[in-house]
Amino acid sequence: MSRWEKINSSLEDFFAVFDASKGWQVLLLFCSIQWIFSFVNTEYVSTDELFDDYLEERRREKYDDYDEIAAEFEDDLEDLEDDESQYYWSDQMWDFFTLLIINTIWFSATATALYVGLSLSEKTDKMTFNALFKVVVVSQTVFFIPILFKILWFGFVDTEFDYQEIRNFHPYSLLGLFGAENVQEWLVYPLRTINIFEVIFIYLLITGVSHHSKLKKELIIKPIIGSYGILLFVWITFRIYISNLL
Amino acid sequence: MKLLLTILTFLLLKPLLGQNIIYGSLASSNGEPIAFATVYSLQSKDGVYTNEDGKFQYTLKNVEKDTLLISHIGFESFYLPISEENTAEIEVTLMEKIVTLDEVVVSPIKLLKNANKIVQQAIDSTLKSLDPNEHILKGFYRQLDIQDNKPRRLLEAAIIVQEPGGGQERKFGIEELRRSSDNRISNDDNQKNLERDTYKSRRISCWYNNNLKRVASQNLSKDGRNSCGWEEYGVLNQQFIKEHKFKLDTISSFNNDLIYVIKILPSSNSKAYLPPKHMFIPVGKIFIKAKDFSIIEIQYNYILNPKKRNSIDYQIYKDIHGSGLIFQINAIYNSTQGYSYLSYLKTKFYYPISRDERKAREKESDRVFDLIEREFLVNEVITSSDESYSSLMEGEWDEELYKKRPYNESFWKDYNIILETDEQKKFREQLEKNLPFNE
Repeated sequence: MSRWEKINSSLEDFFAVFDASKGWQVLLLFCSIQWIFSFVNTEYVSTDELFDDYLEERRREKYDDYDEIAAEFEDDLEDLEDDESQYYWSDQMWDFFTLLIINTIWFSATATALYVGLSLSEKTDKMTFNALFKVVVVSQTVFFIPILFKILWFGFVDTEFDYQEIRNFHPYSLLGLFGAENVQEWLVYPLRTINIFEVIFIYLLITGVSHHSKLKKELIIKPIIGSYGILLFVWITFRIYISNLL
Repeated sequence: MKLLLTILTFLLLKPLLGQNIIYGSLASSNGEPIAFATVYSLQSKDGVYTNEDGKFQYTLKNVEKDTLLISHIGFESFYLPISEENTAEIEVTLMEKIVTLDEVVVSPIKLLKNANKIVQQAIDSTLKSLDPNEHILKGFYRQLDIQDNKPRRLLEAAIIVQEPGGGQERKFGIEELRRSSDNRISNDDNQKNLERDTYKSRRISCWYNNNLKRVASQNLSKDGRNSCGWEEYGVLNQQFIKEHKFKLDTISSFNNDLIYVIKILPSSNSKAYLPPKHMFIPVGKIFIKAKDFSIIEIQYNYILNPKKRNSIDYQIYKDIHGSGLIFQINAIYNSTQGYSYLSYLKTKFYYPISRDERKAREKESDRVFDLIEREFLVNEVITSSDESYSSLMEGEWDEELYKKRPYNESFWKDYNIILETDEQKKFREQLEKNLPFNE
């Protein structure tokens, strides 16, 4: 077996792990792992203190006497609400549910796009929407790699960093190639999105659909690339439009 | 003949030659400038206030000598003799006056300790102490507009305001214009607003209207909103007691009167200026005369809650806003002929910029608030019993702010103004330097 065949075989086995599971179960598992990554990132890497320092540097020249007024009255101020720490874990739960909702919407949209694409090429008799949804969720796990890489890089390798560096850290993307400081603001998101992991994601989609439908990859490449490509293009355009509006 | 003409000329010019502007600065014994201190002329029976830098200017009027009574809450009053020969800035140090326990004990007035009761009494007394009859206030008005941290408009004028009493519509006018520079950003979207704002004095009268209600609750409409539609913050009515907490900070003195110094603090019922709740809070001070509970001064600020400084919301607000101050009001009242009248009013308001406005501005602009700083020094109170009142009311009042008017030197040479602060001077010079060619 060539190396390439070994990789494909491993990927097929990876998709096979989830054959018995339902779509919502795979989604829950995905969201749980994603939440863990996000928690670790926020608590230990891209922390609130880092953001505070970033804002502090951008503070403007003082024009009024806010600091003097605050100093005069601060000791007299009571805590008007309960300690915020009691809301900490409910905030985390809220974060998890937000992830769940957003992922459900995006993965459903992707699965729908793939379903439409496969319909147009008359391949859907081999695939149910549920199976497509599962393929999308499982394929999305590839995006854990850059997150993990970021956590490990700033956690253990480059430990002297500021907010801007971590914000602009997008390895293996076109943005990383050009540099965030060298491009116009509106191009940041599109260039960030076009990265090697998107390519791997598309390959995983093809592999996953091939695994479930038992069709050869050559037959489904075009409908998958076409349908997902269009969805991604529409999404990027929408993001650019919204950010310009704001 | 020549000698006679020379003598006549000298006699005619003498009043002009004799006009002298006295500049002074006021500080405490530890060098801190004293803002909003009273500088009162014993000869002319008028006065000014020190600005935020503790500085003032006062014009001697047709006299060679005068004595200025300089006073401020918590300090010993000081009599400053002045004359035409004072050419340099006079530096005055006021000594702190601490009210001792003995003074409190032997005071004929029974002093209260409960801050809430003191404030309640003061609110009740404003209804009696403020003149409910028609009267006119004349004084010096200054306004400075800052957009995107750059000065864009400066206006200095002598204005005239009629207090109608009984909730009638106020009358408002411009007597004379001293300075007028406008370099605001204009575009198709806001041009109409600029024109409306520029050529009518509605904005000034709204501002005055809104702020005077802080101690004139009888002028509020039933739903608590004024005619300009702005929210009522810090108005001294019964709602004020519910929305704030009070703390008796100290008992001080002012011109031999004992003064309650009450700190205004937020309560759980304080109005939420913007979410989240209690991110913005009111703080301030009220200075109340112990003998009759009349209010001498109010300082009211709406600020970012310093207790929340570790939160992300605080940092974000401070960053986009550029300051922790949302708005600030200083109002001073004086008694004359048995009633209290506004004597000085200064406000700083940060106004949110609309999204369309932000888009229309220069690309590098990332501010979301504009600042308008305004102050009004009342130079004259004309009650309805004064002879000049009727003729003033019958006359036409000019509301046009930017009408071309020649600078009236003879009017301004005798007119009391609030000396601009160093910061205001810097902004004015910057504004005048950047004005378009055709200004």
